[in-house]
Amino acid sequence: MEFVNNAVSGLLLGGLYAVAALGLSIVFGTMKLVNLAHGQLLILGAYLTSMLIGLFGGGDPLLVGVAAAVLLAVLVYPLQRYIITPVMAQGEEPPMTVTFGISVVITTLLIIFFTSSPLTSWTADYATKEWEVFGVRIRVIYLIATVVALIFILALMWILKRTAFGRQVRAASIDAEAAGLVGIDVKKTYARVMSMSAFVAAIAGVLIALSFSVAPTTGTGWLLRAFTVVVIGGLGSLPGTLFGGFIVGLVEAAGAAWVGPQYRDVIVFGVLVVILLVRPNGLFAKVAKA
Amino acid sequence: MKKKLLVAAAIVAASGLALSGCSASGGAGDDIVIGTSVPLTGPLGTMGTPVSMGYQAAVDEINAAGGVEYGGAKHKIKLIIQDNASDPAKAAAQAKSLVLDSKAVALLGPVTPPLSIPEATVADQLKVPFLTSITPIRAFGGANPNWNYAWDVFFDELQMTQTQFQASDLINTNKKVVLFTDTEEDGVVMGKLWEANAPKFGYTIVARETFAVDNANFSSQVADAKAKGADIVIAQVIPPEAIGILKEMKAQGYDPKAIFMEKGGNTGNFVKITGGLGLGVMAANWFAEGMGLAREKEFIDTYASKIGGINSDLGILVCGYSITYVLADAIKAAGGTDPAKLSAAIGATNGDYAIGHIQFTEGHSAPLKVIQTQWDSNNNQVMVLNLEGKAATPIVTPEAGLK
Repeated sequence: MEFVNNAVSGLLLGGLYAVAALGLSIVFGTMKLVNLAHGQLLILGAYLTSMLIGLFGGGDPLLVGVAAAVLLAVLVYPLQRYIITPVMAQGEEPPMTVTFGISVVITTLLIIFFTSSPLTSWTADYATKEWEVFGVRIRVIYLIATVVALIFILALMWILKRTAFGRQVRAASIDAEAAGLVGIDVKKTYARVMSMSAFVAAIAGVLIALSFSVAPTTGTGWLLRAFTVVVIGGLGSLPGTLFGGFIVGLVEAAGAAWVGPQYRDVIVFGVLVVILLVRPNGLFAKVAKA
Repeated sequence: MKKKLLVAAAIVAASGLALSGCSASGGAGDDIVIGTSVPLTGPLGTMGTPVSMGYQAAVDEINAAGGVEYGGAKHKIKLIIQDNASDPAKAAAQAKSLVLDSKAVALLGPVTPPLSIPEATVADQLKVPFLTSITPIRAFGGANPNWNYAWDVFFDELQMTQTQFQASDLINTNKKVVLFTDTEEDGVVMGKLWEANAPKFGYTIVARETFAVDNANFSSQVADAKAKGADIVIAQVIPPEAIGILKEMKAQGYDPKAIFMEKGGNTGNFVKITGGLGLGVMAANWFAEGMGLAREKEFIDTYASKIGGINSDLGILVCGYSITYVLADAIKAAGGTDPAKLSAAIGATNGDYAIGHIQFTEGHSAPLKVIQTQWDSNNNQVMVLNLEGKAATPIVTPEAGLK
C-alpha cells in the first residue's frame, strides 16, 4: 500500500509541477524565449496574493490568487512589450539576459519590502488536509493543483486552437516576420502571451505557497524544476508539460522510496540527462505542439 | 579697552591650557576601521540583520563614550557593514576587500559556518584578527584545527545535542525519536551527535530522515516517521524545510509530543511564518528571559519590540553586541591594532559580557551554553530547560500548532 501511496502522491505532486511549468512552456512555445524570470513570477504571484489578502482583510488564498494573477498579468504586459520584445531582434541571448535581470529585480524588491524570511502562511484548511480513499492517502492541495493544471491546459489549448488570438499566437510562433506581414501585431501578441503566462504563474505560486513555503529567493529552485518538466515533456508542448510534471513527480516519489529522499534531485536530473540524450526535444514534442 | 583685551587674552590662554590638558590625558586619536561582511539579504538575511544591529549598537555605545582608549588617546570605531547576500564566495571577496581596500584592522564575522569559515580563511591568510559568532564551534574548529587569527563565540554542538533529550525527559513520551536532517554540514554533524547521544539518555532513534538542502516534498519522510510511532521529532533544517515538514505533518495527522526544530525554528516570527503550525515547536537558544544573564532585562526592554519578541533574533543581536565589546576590549588590552598582539588579546579574553561569560578554549572557540525554548503565541521563545539542564517553564505538549 505504501507503494500506491507514494505513486499517487508523486503523480498529484506532478500536477503541481505542471502548473508551475505551464507559463514557461507557453512562452517558449510562442517566442522561443527561455524566461529566466519565470521562477520569480511564481513567487511574486504568492506575494501579491499575500498583499491582497492583507488589503481585503482575509479571503480564500486561491480565490484572491485569481485577482493577484490578473494584477501580475497587467504588470508583466509592459515589461514584455517595451523591454523584452525590443531586444528579441538581437538574437536569443539578449532577451534571456533581460529576463534574468528582471528576476534579480523582483527578488531584490521582495527582500526590501518583505525581508528574506519565508512568506507568512495563509490559513486554508485544504492546504494541510489529506483524504483517505480506499486506504490511499490523497493530499488535497496536490489534487487541487492537478485539477487546476488540467483546466489550464484544456483552456489554453482551446484558446490556441479555437480563437482568433490563438491563431495569431500560432502564426507568430511559426514565423513572426510572416505573421507581421499579414497584419498581425506580433509585439502585442507576445505581450499578451507573457501576460497569460504570468496569470498561470501567479496561480501556481499560490498553490506552491499553500503546499510548501515561499521566500524571495525560492524562485530559482522552482525555475529549475519547471525547466526540467518542460524539457522532459517537450519544449512548448502543453500536454507534454502535464506529462512531464507527472513523470518528474513519479520519478521523485520512486527515487525517494527506493533509493532515498536525499537522492531525489540526483535521480530527477539524472533522468533529465538521459531523456535529453535519447530525445533531445523531449518526450512529447512531436505528439502535440502548442 | 586695554582691560578688555587682557581679559580676552586670559580666556584664550586658559582655553588653550585646558585643551592641551585634554590632549595630554586622552584626546581623539585616529579612527579604528572594523569591517564586517554579513548576510543582510538571501536565505540567511534573517540572521544577518540582527547580528549587524548588535555590532552597530555596541559601536555606537563605544563611540558615544569617546571610543577605545590606547596609546594615551581615545579612538572612535568606524564600522563598515557590507551585505554578502548569503553567498560564501561574495563573503570571502568582501572580507578581502574590507582589509585590503578599506584598511580594516579587524573583521567581525557573519553567521553560520558556510559564511564564517570562508571569511575566517581570508582573515587567516591576510593575518587580520577575525571574530565571529552564530557558528557552532565544532563546525568552526573542524574546518581548520589550526586557526591563527580567527575566533568564534558560540555553542558547542555536543552540549546542544543533549538539550533535546534533557527537555524530553521533562515530559512523558515513548522515548522513540525520529531525526530530520538535511545534507548541510551542521545537519550531518548534529545528526551523528544525536545518534550518539540518544542511547546515553535512554532514547531510541527509530528513523533518520535525510534530504537535500531546500527540499520541499516531505511526504515519504513524514509517513515513515508516523509509521515508526515516534513521540519525538528532532530536526536540523532551514526555515523553508521546517515549514514544509510541519505542513506535511499536519496533512498526515502526525502530532508528536515534542518537536525540536533547530536552526529553522530559530527564525523570528516562526509561529507566523508557519501559519500557526510552529506554535509549541522547541529550539535550542542562547538568550531568553529568566536565564539570569546580568543585562537580560535591559536588552529585552530595549530591543525585544524592535526585533519582534524575545526570541533567537534577539539572541543573535546580543551575540553581535557582545563580540564587538570583546574586540574593543582586546584592542585596549593589546595597546593598539597590531594584528598579532590584537589576536593574542582576543584569545586571552576571560570576562563577562551581555551574552554571558566568554573565555576561549581549544580550537580558537569560546563555548556558550544553550538552553531549550518553546514558541508561544506572543512570538516569544520561552525557556523550558535552563542552563543547569533542569525544568523551567513547563513544556506544552503535544505541539499546539498541529492540533
